[in-house]
Order: sequence, then structure tokens, then C-alpha cells
Amino acid sequence: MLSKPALASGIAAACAALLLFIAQPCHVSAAPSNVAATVSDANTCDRACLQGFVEQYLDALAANDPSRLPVTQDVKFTEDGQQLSLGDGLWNTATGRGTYKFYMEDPAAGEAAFFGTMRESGEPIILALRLKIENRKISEVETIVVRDVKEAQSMEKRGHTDPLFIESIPPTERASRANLVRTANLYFSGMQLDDGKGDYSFFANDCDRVENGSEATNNPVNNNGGLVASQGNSVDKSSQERSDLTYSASWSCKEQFQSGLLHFVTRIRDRRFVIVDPERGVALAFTFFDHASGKTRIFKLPSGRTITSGPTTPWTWEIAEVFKVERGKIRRIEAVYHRAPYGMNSGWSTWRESMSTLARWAAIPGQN
Amino acid sequence: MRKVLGLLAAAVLFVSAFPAIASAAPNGNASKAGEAKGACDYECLTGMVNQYLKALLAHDPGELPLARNVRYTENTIPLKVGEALWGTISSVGDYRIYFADPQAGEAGVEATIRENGTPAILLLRFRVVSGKITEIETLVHRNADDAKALEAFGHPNPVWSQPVQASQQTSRQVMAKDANIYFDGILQSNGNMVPFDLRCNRILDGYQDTNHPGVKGWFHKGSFEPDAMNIRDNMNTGIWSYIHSIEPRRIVVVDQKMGIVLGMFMFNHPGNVKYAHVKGVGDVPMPPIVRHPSSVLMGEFFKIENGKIRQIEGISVALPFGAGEGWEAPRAAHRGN
Repeated sequence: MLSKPALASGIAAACAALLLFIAQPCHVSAAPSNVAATVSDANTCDRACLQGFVEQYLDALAANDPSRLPVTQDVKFTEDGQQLSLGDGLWNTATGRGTYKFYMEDPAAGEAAFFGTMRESGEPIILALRLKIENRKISEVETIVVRDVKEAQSMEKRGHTDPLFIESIPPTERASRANLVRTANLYFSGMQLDDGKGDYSFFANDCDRVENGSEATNNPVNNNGGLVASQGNSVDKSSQERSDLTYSASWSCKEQFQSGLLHFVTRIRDRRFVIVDPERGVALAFTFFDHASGKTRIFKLPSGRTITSGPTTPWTWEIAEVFKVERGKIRRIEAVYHRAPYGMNSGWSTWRESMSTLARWAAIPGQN
Repeated sequence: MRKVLGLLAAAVLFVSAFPAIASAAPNGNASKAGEAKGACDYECLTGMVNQYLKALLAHDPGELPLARNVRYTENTIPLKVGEALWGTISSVGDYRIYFADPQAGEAGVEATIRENGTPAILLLRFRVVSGKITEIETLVHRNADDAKALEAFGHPNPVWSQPVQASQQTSRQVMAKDANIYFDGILQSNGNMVPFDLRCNRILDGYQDTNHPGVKGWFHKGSFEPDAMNIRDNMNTGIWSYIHSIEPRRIVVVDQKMGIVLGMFMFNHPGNVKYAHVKGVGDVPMPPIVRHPSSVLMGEFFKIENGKIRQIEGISVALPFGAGEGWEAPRAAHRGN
């Protein structure tokens, strides 16, 4: 499946491909700092320390007071892909913390992340947060704010993330950072222009996916939910065609890919794996799903039947998506996402990087 | 707030002091406007608009005289010509308002369209230098109900297609200045400072929010119906106080023949204004949609007659708070680059 993304030409692409396949730490562009500095910083902030920074950040955010935070002089802050001054955006409108809390850490890279709920003007919202810690100061803050009350309420109704995400992997079964990213990236490569004919053996049989607090797989209640339903995927009502055309949130991860109905996701780009945590088998990516909605609306199902399906207008999902990988297979997926202008950049990548479908992550010498 | 007002004042000074630059060249390069002069007259430019729409509908940018380094944005995002709307447009409606500015080499159109059958509103402007299209800026308002509402007017207000007598044409400088003062008036909740012709109506995203009694708009409260007021009184109510700044402001087309000035204006809403304090009414709550940080790019155009604003129309594109407009510098729409 790694052959599916369009391979960009040039040195950068070749280097990224090397990272992907043989894990040579050439250019490490997911984390702007160089590798050596990251390792040094990591020694000063372990998992508990990183989570402490997230807590401190969320408390300061709820109090609308960024001055409480230890930040570097040139700290960079983005909200929904836009670079703002720390203290702007959600910092003006946050009114409290929420109840859903999912913490992720990458001590080797000095990165911490969080999925959870907050209050904005009293209403529940979803926040995806990434912090980079250098010398016990916050140097980077990246946020996605999903302003959808119902989805935030769904997340809080779930109560907590799947415990699997925080379970440790036995030391002898831990994947290298490169292999962890490689497995998670198969998900993106398999979804992009999905034709239902790929090798989807990277999914564990019990794989589950949650999107903005809702079960998007193996969900007997919500037959047509999640990303696909909200993308206006057409549903054929005739009973003899239901098996072919009716995408279902009741299917397993693998069945959804095998349907070929995800074809309208035309490009998954700027795949920045910002948390790579071999100890827990967790990889978190910030990325974009593009829907060109042009000729790609017409496609062939695995059955051979040609259909027209998918959204009618171009747009992009801005997504933070985390994977639990065990023994080379994806067991859990959780995503926070919202709609963005078609082709939008994250504010953390060059134009070329933002258009690339190659995976990027922080390579750590000796840990790949 | 003071800092923002300072910036706005600076923007006003810029437009006032350098009207030729502000009104003639959207990228602030006056010499380019000079180069374009005489290269493509009014009919040539409007003809190119039709040529563009034809190519767009054919999904074939190869039919256009594109400059080698043509810049293209759709809803502020730099893309390749041929992407996004180029792949989805399925028809162009009859509701069209054209603009042309031979002096600056700029032309454009507002039109209702369909994308794979779904209604939307397109606002297009492009720049022509030496017969080649060098810049293309598209705004697509993707809301089917709004597009249908615009079409429900039947046709554009006739003022948009009525040429202004040569002897009554407003100077380029005054046209740009009038548009700019309008935005100052919004920020200062002061309609008295804006040169309105009180017959002026405003239609944004297919909705007329002035002289429109009987509708319950965003700010309707009891007998308080700002949408029923004339545009000056509407502005004086203070309901627009959630708009913190309107910057940048780019005048891109000054069509003296038709008396139309078109610009792109970024409205920034921090989302922290909960009420408008309306004299005689009390606190009017802000609608939920503006109670979180957001920015909105407005493609807005003004009919100027005898130095006064006679009609306003435009479309919006919702964006993340603090978004750029895509024309700050080549390939640098995003500040993270």
C-alpha cells in the first residue's frame, strides 16, 4: 500500500522515502528542531512532565491567562492552521475545561498532545492540542478547535478514551519509531483514492475508530455516520444494491476500506506524525484530507460496478488522528477534525511539504 | 482595540494618500497598472470574463491566455489553475454582474453557479497584463440556500448594469474612498459618516438586510428590527460591534463606466462580544455564530452615484480566525511558511 501515494520527485521526497522504509534520520521535518537537540531536551522532561505541561496549558487557557505559562521567547502558536499571538483566538473565549481528557506523549521528541473538551462562551467544544517542550519551556503550540456542541457532548458522553491507548506494549513487542509510523501511515495510504482492492491486513480484527466522539466503526446504532455521511456520500435506496453502495458505520475498519466507497478522499497530505510513542504503540498525526469532488466522484467498486458518489464541492478536513498499533496492526483509531478551506496549510509546513502525501516524523538516533 | 484602530487609521491614510495605488493595483504595484493601460479595453475585459467562464465550465484552463506564472487562489488558498472549482462546476446561472477596470487591467463577475448540480455563488476577479491573465482570485460561497435566494431576486438590481454618464462619473479616488469609509462606519457604528444614498440596499450572500421588514434576522429582538431599517440607521444601531477589525482591505476593481468598486475585505471577529448596546432597546445578544473567534473574507462591491453609495452586494467566505487572504505574497498565504 505504500506505493499508492503519489511519490514526489526530488531530494526531499527521496529522503522522506528513506525515512519511511529504512528509517534513516536524514531530514526530520515533523519536528522543526534538529534531532540532537530533541534528544537532549527529552532527557529533561519525561512522560509525567509532558502531561504536566498540558495540564498547565489547559488551566491557563481556561483562565484566559497565557502569562502563567513558561514559554520560549519565540513561541509559535497556531489555531486551526493560522498563526496567532499566544493569547489570541480561543484564549479570548475559553470559559472552562471539559471532562474528556486523552493525553499523549513522545518523551524522546519532547512532544505532548491532548484530545479533549473545553468550554467556550459556556458551550462545549473539542480541542486537539500539541505542545513542544524545549528546556522545560513551551516552544510550539498547535491547536485544532472543533466548535460543534453536539460532537463535544458526544465526546463527553463517552467519558474517556479507549484504555488500550494508554496500555504499555511489552518491551519485546515494541515497534521502532519508523515501523510505528509505517503501520499508521498505511491507513492514510489505503484510504486515499480507496478502490477496495488493497491489502488491508494492517487492520487488527478488533479495530475500532472514533471520530469527534462518535463510533465510526462497529456501530450497530448509527448505520451511516462519521466522516462519510457528513461528506454527503450518496446512499442508494434499492435493496439489491445496498451491499454495494450503502457505506455503514456498523462495518469494521477493514470492511469500510474493502467497500471502495472511500474513494472520494482524493488526497491525504502533509502527514505529520507529531507523537510517536513505541512504549504505548501510539502514533498521532496532524494531516489534511482533501476532497477534490471532480472526476473522482465517478469510480469503480470492487464488484466492477461504476458509480457516482461523494461530495459535490471541494473541501478539506483538518484532522488530528491517533493510532494504537500492536504487532504491526492497527487496533484503535481516534480522530478530531473539522472542515477547512480546500487545500489549506497547517502553518507548520512549507508549501511543498503541505502538498506531499509522504509521512514525516521526528527520527531519534538509536530509536528507529 | 486602540492598536487595531491605529492600524485602521493607517489603512485609511494609505488609501487617502495614495489613491492611485490603492485603487488601481491590487498588489500595490502602481507600475503594473500603467503597463496594463490600453492593453485591453472595457469590452475586451468583459469578453475575457466570458471566455474565462466558458473555459471554467469546460474544465479546461488550457483555453485561456494564462501568464506563465499566473497566481490562482480559491477562497484564499493558493492552488493550481484547474483545481477545486475547475473540477466541480457544472453550470453558470443567468444572475451575473460584471466589472471591468481597463486602467488597472482588472475584470470580474459575480454569478450563481452549480457544482455537480449544487447551487453556489461565485465572485471572480482576474488581472490582465499584455493580454495574459496574471492573477485569478475566486471566492465561492458554498451555501445552496443562499445561492437560490440570490437567484430568487430574478435578476440583479438594475443599477448594476446602468452606466454612469461620463459627466457624472465619480473619480477613482472618491470611489475607493467611499468604500473604505463604509468599513470605517461599520467599525465605529456610525452610518452618518458614510456617504449613503438612502435608497441603498445591501444584499450579502443572497440576503437583503436593509429595508426588509417582517423578517427575523440575527439581531431581531421584540420590535427591534434592524433589517427593516435603511442602511444608515442600521449601521447606527451598533449591532456590528462584534466586528473587531476589517483588514486587510483591497480595492481590486474600479469600474468608472458602471460606477462600481469591488474589493476584498477581511472581517475579524474575536468572538468575545456578547451584546450590542442599542440605544432605546438595551442589550441585544450576539448570535451564536459570532461568539467564537472567526474571520470572514467579504468580496463586496459598491455602486457609486454622484459620490454616494447607491447599492451594495457581495458574498462571504468563512475562514479560521486570523486567516490570510492569499495575496500577501506569492505562495505565502500561510504565516507558518
